[in-house]
Amino acid sequence: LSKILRNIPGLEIPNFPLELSKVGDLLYFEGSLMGVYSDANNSPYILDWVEANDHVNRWLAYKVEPEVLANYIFRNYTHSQIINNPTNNILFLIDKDIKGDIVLCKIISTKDIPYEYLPKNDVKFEEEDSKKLEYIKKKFNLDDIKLQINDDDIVFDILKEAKKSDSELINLHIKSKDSSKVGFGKIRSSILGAVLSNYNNLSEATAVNIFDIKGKLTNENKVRRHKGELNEIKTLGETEFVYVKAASFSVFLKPLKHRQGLFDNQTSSQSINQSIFDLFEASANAESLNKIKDSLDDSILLSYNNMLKEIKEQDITLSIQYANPSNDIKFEETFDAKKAIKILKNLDVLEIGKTETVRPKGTFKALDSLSSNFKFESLEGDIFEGKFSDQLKSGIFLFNLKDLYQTTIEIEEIKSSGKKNIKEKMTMVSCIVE
Amino acid sequence: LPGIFKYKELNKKLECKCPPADIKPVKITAYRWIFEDLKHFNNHHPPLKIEPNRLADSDDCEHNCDGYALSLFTSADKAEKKLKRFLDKKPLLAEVLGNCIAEVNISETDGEGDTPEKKYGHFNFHEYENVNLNFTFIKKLKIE
Repeated sequence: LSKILRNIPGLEIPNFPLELSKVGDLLYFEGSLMGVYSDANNSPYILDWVEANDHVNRWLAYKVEPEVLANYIFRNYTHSQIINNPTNNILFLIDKDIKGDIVLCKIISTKDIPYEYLPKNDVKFEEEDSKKLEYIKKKFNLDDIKLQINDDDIVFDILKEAKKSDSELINLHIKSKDSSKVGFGKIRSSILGAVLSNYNNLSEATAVNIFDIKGKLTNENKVRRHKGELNEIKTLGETEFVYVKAASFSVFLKPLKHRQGLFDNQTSSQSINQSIFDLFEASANAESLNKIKDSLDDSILLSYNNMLKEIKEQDITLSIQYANPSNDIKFEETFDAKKAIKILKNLDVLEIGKTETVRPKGTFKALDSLSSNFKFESLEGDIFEGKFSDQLKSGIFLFNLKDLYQTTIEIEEIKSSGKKNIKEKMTMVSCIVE
Repeated sequence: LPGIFKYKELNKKLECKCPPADIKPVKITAYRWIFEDLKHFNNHHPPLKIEPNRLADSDDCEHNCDGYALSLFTSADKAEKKLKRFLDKKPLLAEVLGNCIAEVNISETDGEGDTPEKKYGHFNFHEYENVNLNFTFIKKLKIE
């Protein structure tokens, strides 16, 4: 029994409409796997073997520009790039029987190519697999073609793109070696969803944090906001989806809303992105990250942690770009799994803390003059455990377990980023007998 | 006495000399890409006997002649590397070429091979008639 070949949507046509003649092979093993042909106008066509059963071999036939073919042969373009970008964006699906007769011909779109038909994203041409390479080059004058830069390595010029629409623009460019995860104009929805929501969370958390810092509210225990204000601030960090480009997978977003001048006479979105990219830059090493820790909060670090974990786990490369066409500002940063692991380590050792001062009245339950430690119970029954400050240390012999004291205790909450446990460090800074 | 090749009658139909003059009897432990089921037809047959073939378009007589030879490798490691490279390029090729590596001991009475290419140690082996090579399964490739 022969297996049934995959059903690919497309327009079935009675005959293959072109007369092609064989030029050579770019991939060959026990027969052609990627043949090069020419049509009546001497334009190059590729016939890519994709699947077979006992009766037929299936091929994808598509026209390529000589420039594209040259860039493939000279290893600027990957196989994935050329199969996904045929001239006119159409391919012929051809099933040939044992005798070489065409038994099925369909016109299909690149978006319908199954993942199993596609090479891994990083696969490039290898001369040793080819046949008649010199003849292929000569036939289409490939040696004379000026090679282009591989645009897969360079993410779009975000500023140019932003100027087209005259609005601030954010580009999330996602790449993977695994074409079943990210391909040209295709992406597994779970990955896209995670990337978008991670970026959105980071952006929202940054917006809220900037608002609190600018409003000098950071030292307050709880930030009180009027009804609906938190959501309003969060929308400043939100973006809306604008469009997609296929190479490998690029999503363009623009700020949903912005307030001019709220944050230092900049657009809110620029301030948010400036902060995000400052974090990206600083997190490259533990020392510089430590320097900016006061400007960070737990929500930012949590969302940044989540973004990096997704990059690490899915083994994807994510490039984030921001551009503001009104002042020609752009920020760019690229993360791959290796970089994500490194930053996650830096975030892991980062401790962020906040200090709170309390003034409990009560009695000592324990006093240790060797280690300068105390245990203190307030009249409300709360137990405080910690150390005496350097100033109080020397007078520890004056305290006892009997008298009532009015104390001042500083409580420092220390939390490792991305971890749930909070460590509390208490220091008694004043103690007066009542 | 030189052996008689397994596909002698089919070889005769080709316009070039097939098998080529420069092959010779070999004694070697060789490796081949196979299917896990050792009885699989493709394990024991050259590409032109495995239907359908991808040689249909070839007007190159030497390529067609290679189609009557078994593809073998001089080391298991090289065979694995080359198979992995091809499956990265064409994932469904595993359904045609197999996704396992097998070892086979070849003596001078089994057939004749050409000179192995340097990088992957690949060589074409033309079996003599009535020879059935005995493959031993070594490993299955992990397909990512």
